[in-house]
Amino acid sequence: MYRSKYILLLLCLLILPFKNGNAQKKPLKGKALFGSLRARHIGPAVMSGRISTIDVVNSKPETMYIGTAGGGLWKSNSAGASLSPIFDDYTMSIGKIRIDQQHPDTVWVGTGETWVRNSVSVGTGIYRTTNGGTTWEFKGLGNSERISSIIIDKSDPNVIYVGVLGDLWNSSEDRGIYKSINGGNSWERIFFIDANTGCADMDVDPENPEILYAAMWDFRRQPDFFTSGGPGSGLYKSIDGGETWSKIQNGLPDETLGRMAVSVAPSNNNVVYATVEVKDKSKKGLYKSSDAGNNWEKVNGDFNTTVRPFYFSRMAVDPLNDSIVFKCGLDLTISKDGGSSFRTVGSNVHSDIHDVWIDPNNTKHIIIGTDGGIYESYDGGYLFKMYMNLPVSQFYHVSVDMESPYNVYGGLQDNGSWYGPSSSPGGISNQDWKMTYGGDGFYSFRHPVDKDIIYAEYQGGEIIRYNEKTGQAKSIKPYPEADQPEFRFNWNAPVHISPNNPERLYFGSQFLLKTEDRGESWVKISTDLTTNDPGRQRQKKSGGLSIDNSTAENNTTIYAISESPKDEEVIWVGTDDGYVQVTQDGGATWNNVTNNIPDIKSGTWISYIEASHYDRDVAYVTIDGHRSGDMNSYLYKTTDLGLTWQQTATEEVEGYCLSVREDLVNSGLLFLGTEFGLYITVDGGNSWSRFENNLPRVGIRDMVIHPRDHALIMASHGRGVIILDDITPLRQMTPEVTENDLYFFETEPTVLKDPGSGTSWYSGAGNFVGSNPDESAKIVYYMKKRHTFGKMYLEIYDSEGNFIREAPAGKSAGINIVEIPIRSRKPKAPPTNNRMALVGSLFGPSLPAGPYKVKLIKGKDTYDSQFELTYDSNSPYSNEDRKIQYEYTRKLYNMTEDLAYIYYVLQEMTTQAKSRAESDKKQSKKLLAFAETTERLASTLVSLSGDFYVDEGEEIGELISQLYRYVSSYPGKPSDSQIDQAEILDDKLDIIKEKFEVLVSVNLQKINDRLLKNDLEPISYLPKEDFLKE
Amino acid sequence: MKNKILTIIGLILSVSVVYAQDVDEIINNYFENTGGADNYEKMQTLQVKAVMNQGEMQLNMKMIQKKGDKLRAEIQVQGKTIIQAYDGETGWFINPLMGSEAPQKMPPEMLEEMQQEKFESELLNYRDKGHSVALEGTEEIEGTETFKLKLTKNNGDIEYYFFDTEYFVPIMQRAFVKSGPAKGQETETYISDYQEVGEFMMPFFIDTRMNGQSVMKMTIEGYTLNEEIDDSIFVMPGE
Repeated sequence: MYRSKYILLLLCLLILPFKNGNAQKKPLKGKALFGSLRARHIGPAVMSGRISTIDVVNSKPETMYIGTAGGGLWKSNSAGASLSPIFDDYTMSIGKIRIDQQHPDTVWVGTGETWVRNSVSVGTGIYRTTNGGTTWEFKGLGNSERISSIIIDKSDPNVIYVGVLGDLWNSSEDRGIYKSINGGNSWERIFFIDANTGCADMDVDPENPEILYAAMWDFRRQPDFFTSGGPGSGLYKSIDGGETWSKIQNGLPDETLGRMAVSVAPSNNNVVYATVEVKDKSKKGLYKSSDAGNNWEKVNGDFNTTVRPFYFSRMAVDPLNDSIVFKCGLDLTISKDGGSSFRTVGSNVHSDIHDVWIDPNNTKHIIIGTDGGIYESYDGGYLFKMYMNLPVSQFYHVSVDMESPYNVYGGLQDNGSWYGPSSSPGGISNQDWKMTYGGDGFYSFRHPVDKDIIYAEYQGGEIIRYNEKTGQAKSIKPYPEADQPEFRFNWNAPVHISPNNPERLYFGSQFLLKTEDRGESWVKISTDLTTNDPGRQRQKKSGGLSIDNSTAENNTTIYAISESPKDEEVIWVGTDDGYVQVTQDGGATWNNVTNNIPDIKSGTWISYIEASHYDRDVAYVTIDGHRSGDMNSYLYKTTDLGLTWQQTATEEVEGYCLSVREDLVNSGLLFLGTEFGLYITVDGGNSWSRFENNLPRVGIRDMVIHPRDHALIMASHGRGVIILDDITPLRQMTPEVTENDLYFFETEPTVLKDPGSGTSWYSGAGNFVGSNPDESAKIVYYMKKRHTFGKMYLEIYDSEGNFIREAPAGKSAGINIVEIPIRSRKPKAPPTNNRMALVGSLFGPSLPAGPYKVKLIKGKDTYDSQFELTYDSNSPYSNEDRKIQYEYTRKLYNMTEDLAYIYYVLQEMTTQAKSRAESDKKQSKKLLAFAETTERLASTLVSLSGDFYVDEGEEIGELISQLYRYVSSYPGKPSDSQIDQAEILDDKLDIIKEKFEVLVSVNLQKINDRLLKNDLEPISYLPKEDFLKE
Repeated sequence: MKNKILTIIGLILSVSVVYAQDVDEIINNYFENTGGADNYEKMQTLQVKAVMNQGEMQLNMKMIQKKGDKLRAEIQVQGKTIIQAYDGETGWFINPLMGSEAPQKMPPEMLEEMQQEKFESELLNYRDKGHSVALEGTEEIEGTETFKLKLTKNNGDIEYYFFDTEYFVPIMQRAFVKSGPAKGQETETYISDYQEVGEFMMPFFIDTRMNGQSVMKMTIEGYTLNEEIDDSIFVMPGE
């Protein structure tokens, strides 16, 4: 007893000093910091993005799973009519999907794409769902980085084989083939060649689940080089469930092998196909074995059977016919004669096919995954329909213009350069996006001054100037002067617009190039800023067994450029071979500050530079070591032009760093894009939190802050453009703020957007529509603790303190963004069976522009705040027009309520008179006569006989509500006809009111006197005020 | 070093906090703190008056529930009433806005959802109901630490309940759409504004979100407990 007390005391002693120390500056973190701040996805899906793997439930082909290169895992229950991401809490890069076809709610997903191009992401192991993707369980192999194949033993679904391709940029002991006999609870590595050789493909005998075929691949990528093939590569077979493996290469070329695919015919287990990569062009191609792999024979060496094995090594054999072979490649090709000849399928299908599924119950039904999304054919691969609702586009970079609404520009992996609006009536549709150039797109900008001009580029330094008016693009690629060294451009060569001079454009080769005449001429403003290491200039030989000189391995080039917004003479450059250089005299002299950066292996890729908006001496640099096997997060800051650097990414940050932006208003607010999402600090980098609200763990390659609209626009490499619409709460988030129980942030006045019409049409399901920004008025507050007990809500008042309405409040700890209704209460209307009349009366009139007060009631406490509404300065309506509109809206509103009340009273009088008549037969004649009068009048007020569609009547109630609808929903002046009609209806209503008055003051009086005399309860009803409140 | 010590202490403390709580303790605490399991078991009827907020639109709603999973909801739309009801077997509705004031039988998907609406909390005596509940550690919900309880119902359906670790009331419930095009998608219900109603603590604000976005915010104006309610109001007219 004594002892335990002592230990407690000791613990207290230990904790208290630290706790107190921490309490003072306890950083705000994660969900408690961001509260209800939420990202918005605008796609697009028009060009979709790279699909790495697909699988479909054979017995229910409308159920499919789609794995993408960087946009996560998607599912459809409706043959693509609707697609949903179902894996957003996990890794975005998918290697292999395998449905347990005998229990189709069980699906295995191996992460880490295996089409190992230069821009490929990384995986984190294997996962399983047993409920069709609703929930997932991590099943291990966390160091696998890339999983190429998963096989479920058809006789025992707890027996799983997994082919691990493994690390791309390292050697790794985790490669090989793994087996679990307990549903993935534990794994045994059953086949391993060496640390350089992974499993690239695996297939199983359709009859005997103990017989496995595996293609092992020796490969490696470096920043400047790719090697496919090596001594470890080989084709293997096991006949004992993976206990032992033997090489089956009899008939294959007797030389170093590269990446191979292997497929057993589902209808004939003796027929096995393999695609073989070797150096000798005459020997590479498709091989076939008719004796279960014992002997092989080359059957085809066409382009599509040999092209880019590292990128295209999937193959499938028709489920019913062992002679029909599908080869994924630059195109999908199909052979019907066992591989002797192939036809190319599909017109107008995106190139670069990574996976194919053939419906075993209808083999003309084919689904393919490409660099540009999913396509489906029902005629055996002649015509394909594209899925237009898969927004997995891989942006490299992003920029914005100053239009209203602003447009977003960017270039994508294998999908060109595009721009589209940040908002569009009815949502941002595929048709809203415009393509400006092809190839692989990267940087793209609208000219800051000349609105006809858009700059774009494609891989390896091909820059163009596109004139939107003429629709023509001019190449403005710079060339070296005579006898000067050739320019070296990165795959993703940096284009940078000066923040100080809209006509100045920079372009990076190994030299920094500058134009001030829109690319007509370029000036070299530096010496070679790279290491110029010939050992890193091997791109022409890159590829290993198959030369693959696509410019993807170009190295010793400039990769990042940033001119200081504070001083145009200060320009920063970062290179892909690890140099950071800065000039203070517009490029006349350069200072290589690389060696001042601590703890970085020399030669590590500089991925982004952001010169500060506040101080010419300050800059941020992200360094990305993943291409040399270093996955750590590096964000360095200098405050002295590069003399000293401080690591600013804490251990809270996960993923190698790709981009950084400093806020334009608050220098302590930084945004950091990593391979695993967006990180935000509000205290200059002391503490970072991952932003998770509708932002998956997708690579954020670039960001831009809109200077007018306070939005953060992100180029995600797998989920298109993602936007944080309003970062102003983050700008105001300080440690002092967080000491308040509740703190209101300042909000900009809300511009009342006039409601448009004609926003959408019946396009059915199957088209992606990006969400628009939320344009409602908002109040934003920080709350220290979540509100759980007691009432909490908002009351809204006009500037004079007149109550308008109540509204729900946000209850979360952290930032609460609460939508404020911008219409007053709907009018209380009489019932109707007329559709348009009902619709009209469901909405209150819009609030006029001006300041408003908000009371936030939280238990016993009240907090006061305000917000302001303003009219859109671009709208054509004068304040005078709006005043008339408001006046008539109010008039019709009041008429609606007057009529509602009259109708209510008449109803009460009718029912009560009838019920009194029942209880006293002597009075019934008079009472029923009275009821008849009231009923008759009521029946002239509204039409209740209709069907809300084509059998509708109209009485004065409907006419008022319909007119109210037209007048209240158009922000300008009502038409003269509408005004006349309002007056006519008002006159008619006056007549009704007169009749009603007589009824109440004379007839009802008499009836009530009579009732009282006979000891009956007089007819009563609510006073108008109470009725309207009810 | 300082960090390490803190981490170790933190570990000890969090372990003792998390694992000292077993599932039953959390659930019992909840029922005891909010009215007592006995009172929950004894409850016969429950009526709720609420305002449904969907953006600018506000509609008044009344829900009447009775032991035996009987349920009737009435939504007022400008003098018209939409009715949705279930008598424990038959589900039906009247929607005058769809052109008819005649009662109609619910389509099967709607009925299936209705059948899942139990009068009594699924957590109350969950074992007797054939359900199981597991504690899956803690999770931060709206900036508040919660115990994450996984309820696996006798039919295999899964729901999660997130109990405030400080006050032992659920602040969020996560369920999954069971059929239709949104099948598998999660529906989250955020619960707050607990207040005393007789012997109970009842929530007065419920925010329903799909894919993280609010689809309906319900402000409860009042509860009426254990008032006598005739079974006939749950039965489809003409049945």
